[in-house]
Amino acid sequence: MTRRETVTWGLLRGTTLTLVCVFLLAPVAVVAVMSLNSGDSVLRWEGLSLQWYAAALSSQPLMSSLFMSLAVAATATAIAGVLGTMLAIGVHRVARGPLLRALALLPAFVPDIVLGIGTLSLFALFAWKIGFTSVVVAHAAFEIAIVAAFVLARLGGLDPALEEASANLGATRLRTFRRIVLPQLMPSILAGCALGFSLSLDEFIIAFFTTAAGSQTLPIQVYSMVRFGVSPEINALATMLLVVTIVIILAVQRALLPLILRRKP
Amino acid sequence: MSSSAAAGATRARRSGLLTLISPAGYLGLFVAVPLLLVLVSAFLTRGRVGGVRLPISVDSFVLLAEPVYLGILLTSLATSLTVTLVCVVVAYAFVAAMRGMSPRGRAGLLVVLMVPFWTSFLIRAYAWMLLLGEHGPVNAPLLSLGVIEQPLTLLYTPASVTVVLVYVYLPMMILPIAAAAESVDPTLRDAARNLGAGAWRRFRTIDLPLTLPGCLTGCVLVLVPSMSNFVVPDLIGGGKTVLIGNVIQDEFLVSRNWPFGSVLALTLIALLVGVLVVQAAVSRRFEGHAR
Amino acid sequence: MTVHSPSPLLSVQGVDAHYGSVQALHGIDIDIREGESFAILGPSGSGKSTLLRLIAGFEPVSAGTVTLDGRDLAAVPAHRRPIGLMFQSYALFPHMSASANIAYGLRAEGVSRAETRRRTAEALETIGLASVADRRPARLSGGQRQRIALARALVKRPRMLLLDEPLSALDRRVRADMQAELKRLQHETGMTFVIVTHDQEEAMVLADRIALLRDGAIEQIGTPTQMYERPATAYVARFIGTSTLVPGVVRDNGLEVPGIGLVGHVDRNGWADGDRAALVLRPEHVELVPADTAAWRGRFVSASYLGGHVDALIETPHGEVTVRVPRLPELGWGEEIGLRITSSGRHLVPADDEIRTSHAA
Repeated sequence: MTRRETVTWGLLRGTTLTLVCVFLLAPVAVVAVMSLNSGDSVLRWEGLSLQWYAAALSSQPLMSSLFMSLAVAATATAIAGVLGTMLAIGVHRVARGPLLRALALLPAFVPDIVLGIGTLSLFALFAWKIGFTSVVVAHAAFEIAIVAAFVLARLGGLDPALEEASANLGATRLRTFRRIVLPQLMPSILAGCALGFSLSLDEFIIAFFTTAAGSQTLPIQVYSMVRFGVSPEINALATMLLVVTIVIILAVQRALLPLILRRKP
Repeated sequence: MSSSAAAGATRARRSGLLTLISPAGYLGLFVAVPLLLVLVSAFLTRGRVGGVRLPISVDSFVLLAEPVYLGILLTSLATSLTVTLVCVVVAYAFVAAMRGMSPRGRAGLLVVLMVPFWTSFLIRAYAWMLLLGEHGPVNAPLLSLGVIEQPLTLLYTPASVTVVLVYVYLPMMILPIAAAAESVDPTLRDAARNLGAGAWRRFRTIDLPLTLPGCLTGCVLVLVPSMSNFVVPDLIGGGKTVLIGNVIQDEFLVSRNWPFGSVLALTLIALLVGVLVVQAAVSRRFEGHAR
Repeated sequence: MTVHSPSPLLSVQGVDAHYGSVQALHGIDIDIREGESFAILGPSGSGKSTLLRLIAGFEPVSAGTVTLDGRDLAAVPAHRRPIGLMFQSYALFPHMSASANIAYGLRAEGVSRAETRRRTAEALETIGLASVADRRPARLSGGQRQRIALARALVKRPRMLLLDEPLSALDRRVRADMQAELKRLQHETGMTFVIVTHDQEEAMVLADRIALLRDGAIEQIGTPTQMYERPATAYVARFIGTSTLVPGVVRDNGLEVPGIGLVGHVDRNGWADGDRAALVLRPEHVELVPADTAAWRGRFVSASYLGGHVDALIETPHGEVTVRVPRLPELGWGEEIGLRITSSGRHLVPADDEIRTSHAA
């Protein structure tokens, strides 16, 4: 490279990266910063204060919808953890071809709006009541695909010799699965569940179609508040959620990523 | 294969099929059936108080052909294509700029990428309302510096809807392209350079073709979701911009014309299938090029 | 080796290069003449890859100049340098056919489509691969890929060709073919080759002259004969070929070696009495004699039959000595045997820390 080339490219690179990073982070930064604003005006800084955090935490609609979201996410994730793992194992054992794999992961590609109206139609057909159940059911559906994706990837990298050694030492298939295979899959299962959990917490569109009055999830609640204008508690709530999500994800990454990425010895 | 190995393989297959029963059953009931219902609903008539009923009719399809709805369809398509295109360009620029960074720098950039992803999607749209509003950080300094006299109406325009949609879906485009770029052999670029290719030619003949599968994955993740997103047009567009997603939402929850809403949903699915087919075709052409 | 012009084709002068805070090259001075086959040799970390990338234009120099045909390359970006490059992995574009690969450089230069087609077809004919012109690299054999990679570089008629470890990845038989191919190519085209390698055998076989790099600096430049028979330092002696280094002190016209005595008739060029030096012994410079007739004795360790000659390994106070003998010696393990230095091979190098001394001088 000539000197001039190095400089030009360096400048271009730096500018692009900065611009995109600012574009991506600016809105989040604004929300986080304004959550600490002591005034209630949207963008005039009036001093540091935690009052909106207190307001958010004591707001009944916000907290009950948060609780609802957590309940939905936990239930859906639990279902998806089990079924997603089973799906991955089944696909892995039955066929290694790409077709079955694609089919298994299809739920993740269905547009959420379609899944939302479809679930609504399903519940209408059987005259089931929509609410907590309908949201859980739909969330679990796409989470299954996510967990399956993670576990399938890990299954591909497992050393078959370990299962064979276990069989050779006299273990039944069930025992082999419980003591040998499952522990190796755990990191991937947990990672898939963590991702699915956070997606479910934030999921709006499906919830929008399938919630009822008593079972509003957090995004739904925020939406109705936001439609009527901007309220400062939301800034605080959003920042809290962001921090919690970051902490969870980073913890998961730190603990699980090396285990997931470990290659065959 | 020895007979015991063959027997083992069949046993594995059988146990695999058994394991598949529960998840397949669940997905069948809660994904396949809903999709089927949407398909079927499109051919039925609207119910008296919402829902669907017989007789079978294609009224909803006919309705779709009305200029109003065709116009919305085309506008949505145009908007999504714009959003997708902008995302592709920005994503490639970003990935190219990322090249040559240390692994630590790259990891840092990925975190920056993911932070908006981890923030509630609603909150992010809401944040843009703040940014683009009349007292927002864009208008405020311009006003106080006297550059403009009236605050610019940045909000509630089609352009702002596009910008925010790009914002929401950009990470979904960057990630697959970055992953694809990672697996491109760097000596290929050196070879191209040595053979006389300048930067643009290198991008056009080496990077672009070899990352095309990743780019298409990104398009799948951006094109249809951006069309079905109704929150952004609602909050940022102020209801003035109407995309397919808004109409579907309206038909199902307000107008209660489920068959028509289903028809619209079908167009979305048709589009999705179209994009997936294109992606599969291109991926097949590239089989065997993975390192 | 014919020298076509008095001034060098490629001249590297006082070049330094940095990788971040590490200095990869110090004051490199190399002149490469047109038409010669020049090897840049060194272990990994010696800076040879940096030098290659520098000449190709992928990295900038921190100091010094690189000139081609008298023209300073500092202002010439990589994609405009008339220097061909053959990668160790060939770097064929996987998504393009063989002919598209070859045509790539021509199109990049702006050569017309018609002309490109003509020259590409010609190149494919020359290497005998016209029949596989439309195949992608994945469906070509290793040998075919090699030829395409070479053709791709040469079709642009570069001023010189850089080859990165051309033989390392090949197995023995294919290696010999490739060697012959390269030599033939050079004779037919008069192309200047610069071969970068870690394999001293590769360098010795392919090159007219060799530059040995060590930790970013030049250890020695010379012909294979010079490097083998008159290494400038102990490092060169060890890197090229097999050798045993016997340390001693220069005295009279010989080298006083503790445990052996005075080894006479050494090449005293530039050495003064009392200097510490080491004698470079190649396997063919030593012979086995009955133990009681020699001052220098050792114990037999093993012998390797190499078809035509035998290398015997003898453990001595001066380290393990490889001795070339005509046939397998009838010795048992650990049996005492004597060594004698034959009349040829009395070259000295400066003694360095790595040379074992068993007796204090």
